[in-house]
Amino acid sequence: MSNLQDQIAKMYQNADPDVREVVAAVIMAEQELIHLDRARGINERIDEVLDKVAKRSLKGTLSA
Amino acid sequence: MKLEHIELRNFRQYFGRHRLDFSQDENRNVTVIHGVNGAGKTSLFLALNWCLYGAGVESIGQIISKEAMLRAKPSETVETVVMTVFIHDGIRYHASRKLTGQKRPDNQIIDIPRDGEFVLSRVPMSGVAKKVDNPIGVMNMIMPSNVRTYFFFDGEKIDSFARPEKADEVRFAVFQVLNLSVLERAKNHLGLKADDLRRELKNISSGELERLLEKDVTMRENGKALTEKKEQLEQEIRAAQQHAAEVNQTLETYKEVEALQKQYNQYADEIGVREQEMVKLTERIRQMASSGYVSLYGDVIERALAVLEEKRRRGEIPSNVRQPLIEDLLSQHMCICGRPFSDHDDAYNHLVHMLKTAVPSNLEDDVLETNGRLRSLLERGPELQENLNSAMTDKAELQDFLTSLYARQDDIKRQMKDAPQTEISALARQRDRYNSDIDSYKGEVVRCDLEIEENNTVIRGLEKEIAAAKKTDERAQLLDRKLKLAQDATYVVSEVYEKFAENKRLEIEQRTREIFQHLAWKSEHFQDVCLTSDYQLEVIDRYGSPARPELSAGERQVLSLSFITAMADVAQREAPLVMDTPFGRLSSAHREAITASLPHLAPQLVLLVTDEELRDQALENLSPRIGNQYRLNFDPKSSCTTIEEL
Repeated sequence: MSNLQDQIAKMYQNADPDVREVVAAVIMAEQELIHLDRARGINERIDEVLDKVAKRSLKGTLSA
Repeated sequence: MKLEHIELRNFRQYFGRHRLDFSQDENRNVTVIHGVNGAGKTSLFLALNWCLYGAGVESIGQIISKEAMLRAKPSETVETVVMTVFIHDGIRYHASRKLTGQKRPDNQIIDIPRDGEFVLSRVPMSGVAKKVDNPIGVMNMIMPSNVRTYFFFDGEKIDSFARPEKADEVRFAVFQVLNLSVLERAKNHLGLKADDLRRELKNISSGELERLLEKDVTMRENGKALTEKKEQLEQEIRAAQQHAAEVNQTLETYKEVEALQKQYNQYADEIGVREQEMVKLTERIRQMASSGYVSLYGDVIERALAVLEEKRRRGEIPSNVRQPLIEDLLSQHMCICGRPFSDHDDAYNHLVHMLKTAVPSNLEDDVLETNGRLRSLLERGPELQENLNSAMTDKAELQDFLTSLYARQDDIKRQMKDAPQTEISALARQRDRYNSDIDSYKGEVVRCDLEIEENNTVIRGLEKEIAAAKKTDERAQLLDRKLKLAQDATYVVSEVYEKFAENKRLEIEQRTREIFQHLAWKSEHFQDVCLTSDYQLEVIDRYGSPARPELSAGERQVLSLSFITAMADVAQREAPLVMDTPFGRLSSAHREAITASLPHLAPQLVLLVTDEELRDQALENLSPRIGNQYRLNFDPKSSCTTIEEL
């Protein structure tokens, strides 16, 4: 299992680090919810990681 | 995942507790479980699936041991439990699933819902077990429930992959086992998120901040121009005052008007002093009027005091005697006048009554303070009124005095302007012009001050609006960044998905071909195996024609098995193959080929077989690889199965 994830991870290792972090987090969330026909809560989890990475990359330009 | 052991309690015909260890030895990776038809192979297979995934069981009635139910007394609770221990990525896990029921008087059983039906724990070889918070999520990380059907399967039903009408199942299997479904869903969900963010961003972007900033620049430039204009006017005033002073000095040199000029200067000085006095007096009146107005409402204050007094009289608010004082008197049994009293006499009862009607001391403080302030205001009222009247009288007198000074100064000015000496007259008129200019400039300065104040008010308002717009702008910046991340992540996942899917399809195709060629006894007839780009699993015969429609049931089973083991191999999933009745339909040639190869195709193999399925050469092929072997013995007298280790 981890081998398969490693193989996938290797395929996007050249992407921008922020994008890489988002992709890794989203794939992990999808993996956890794969047993559900409708991945309940996936939108919130994607938003959470996008928010975290975006705020970090904009640090210094935002007031709070 | 490598299975270590399974333990069943009251599961179907497995009454009581039963345990079965799976072989984990790399060289002897096969566990064979023998059983005749009906002995309990499928129940054992179901127990494993139910324990790890809850599959196929809705209520305890479906799985409870009938013997356990029979022996239970009415109202007694019974449990069905299956525990599986396995190792994954070097970590040992305990998975257990339990259903609890209660026997009713009519011998039916009803479910008792309980939390923690499925529990997954990490159990180190040495140390304390730790419960996993998200057991279903973790199980899906180890092996998703929809993937397990390709690793735990009924051998007689696996031929579906080889049926022409089942292309969708092949595609589904590849997507599940190779995580392509995960990538596909990630791609779709990221794309949807990007759409949401795009819409949100569009809604809040209006260029408002830019407009406000432009207005802010304009207003600040306006303010700067007004300040410069004011400074210029003040310079003009100073210059005019200087000129007027010079004229005054020149006029003093003329003997004809020397006395008048001196008088003029005295009036000018006096006017200056009195005007300052007038400013101070006006300010004093303003302060008195604004700070002391409450005292002017004498009637209202008197009414408020009367209300307080009435409430005190009714006992709704405290008297002047404070609660702590009453408590002290009661404890000392001594009246305030020094007279002693005893329990329950009149004085004692009176004090107790006062204590009961007393209110908390903080309210006492508030009431007393309010009372004091109101009285103080009432007392100050006449004094304030008197002071205000006196100041107004002073102001009126001062105004009269100033008016007389202005008149006297005007009279001197007129005399000097009408002087027979033309030089004096000209100088006096010139001085008037300077003074007139000074008045005019001062008026303009006042207007400038008003405009500057108005401008500043607008700027202060703009600052607030800009701060709010900046917040919105920051939100837009954040949304923009999130959108870019979502878009880029979608592109990356799409690219990975395309490449990964194609690479893996080709790898599975190649591996299926190799395994099928090895297992099928007609390998010379079947020249090739293809997994097309639309996930059709196809066998090509020696004539170059698709041969799948002509495959026998056994050949379809071999093709399916080749495909499943190829997928597992390509996916590099550390997963066991658990097969229920795997060789039932196979002829001896296929059976022998499969038993010779299968232990090499999976890290762990668990076979639930009948004796007929596994005998002769097939058993001989497998024997060197068998680590553990069991027999399921069904006793018709008790209708229960026991597990016998061989």
